[in-house]
Amino acid sequence: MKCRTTNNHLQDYLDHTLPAALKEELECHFAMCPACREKLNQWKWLGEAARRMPLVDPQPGLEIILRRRLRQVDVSLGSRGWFRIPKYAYQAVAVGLLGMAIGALLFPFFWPAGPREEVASQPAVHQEDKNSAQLSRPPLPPLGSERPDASMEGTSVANHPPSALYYSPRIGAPLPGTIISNPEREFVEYLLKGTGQDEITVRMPKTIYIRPSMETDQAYFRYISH
Amino acid sequence: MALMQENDNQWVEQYLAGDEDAFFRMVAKYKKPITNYIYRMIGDYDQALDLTQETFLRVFRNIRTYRADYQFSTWIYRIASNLAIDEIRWRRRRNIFGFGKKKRVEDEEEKPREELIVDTRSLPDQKCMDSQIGGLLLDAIQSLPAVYRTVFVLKEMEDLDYEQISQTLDCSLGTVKSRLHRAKNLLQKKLAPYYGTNYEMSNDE
Repeated sequence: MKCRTTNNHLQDYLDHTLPAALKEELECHFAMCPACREKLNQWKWLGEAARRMPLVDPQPGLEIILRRRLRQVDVSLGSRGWFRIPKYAYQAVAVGLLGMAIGALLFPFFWPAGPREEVASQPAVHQEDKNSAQLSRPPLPPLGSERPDASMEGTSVANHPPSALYYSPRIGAPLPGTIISNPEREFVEYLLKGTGQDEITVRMPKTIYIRPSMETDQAYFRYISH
Repeated sequence: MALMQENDNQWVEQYLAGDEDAFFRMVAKYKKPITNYIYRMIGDYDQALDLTQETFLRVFRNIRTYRADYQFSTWIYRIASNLAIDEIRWRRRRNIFGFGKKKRVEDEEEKPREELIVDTRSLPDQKCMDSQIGGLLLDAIQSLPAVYRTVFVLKEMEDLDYEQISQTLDCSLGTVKSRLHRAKNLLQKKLAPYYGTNYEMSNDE
């Protein structure tokens, strides 16, 4: 028998749960192998030391303390049971708050950066206009009465498709390079109507890129159907 | 064991039928083993007393969910184990962030364990020797990972069988045996310097 096999059966040997033949084989090995014999003796000593470990006394008057605490429970919470905060509620709240914090931190990195290659493919504009456009948010385009829904002027955008939110007067015109995910066709038409001769750059069906007009200082859109 | 289990189940039934004293008969029976079990798990007597109280409060709170096909002792050890493991994890986290009570190096230098052991052979009082060996063992147990610690304490100190331990910890028999094996290997390494002297002592008997 090898030392490894002996080692695997050591606890069973100490528990006296081995078949007689295997036990005899192990004892032969212990007689021949000082390392395994040493390990057996150490494990025996360990078990003995554990069993001999002095006992500590329980709390004096534990029953009285428990009676008092249980009575307090009965008085404060009634006999029907305990009010218990659901398990993992604290952890769930903590994870939620952490997620919100991380989301708030990471938001500017993922939104609203536009693809730079699209910027390069736009018609050339004067450098000074480009600078002015980058420095300040462009003013709202003159939508006026051409808007499909006049209530868009107000601060409430609850009744409009989510895409309209990015164009509401409350928020202002989109910044250069703003990506509007998953725009609805109605919204694109609305932008076209509202901006008159302007163009909209649209990559359907997922993304719409909006850039300001450099010549008129108005929102400038170009419509490209893919 | 069967008779004890019968008693436990009877007490639970009596308590559920409205006999409050039946609950306190259970407390009287289990307060010493549970206190000792928790103390050996966490190595802090005061905290062990608090957790023992909490264990019985949880028993009281959840006694309606107790199923008689499990042994009552298994169930109460399970509650105590969960509390002890939570406490161990809490302490470990607290130590990671530097809020825990740290062991002072000077203290360790003032009181080397070897000195304690060298004198044990000459002490006539076996109880005194046992308490010193127990202190060493308790320290070594505290250094084990919680899962190994639980299995070692339940098997070697509380004398539960493998079946009860697997029910208490909700794991397989094989897992229990392998954890016990690893726990003993780790303890053997930690206590190797003290082994010779004490083992001769135990052989002398």
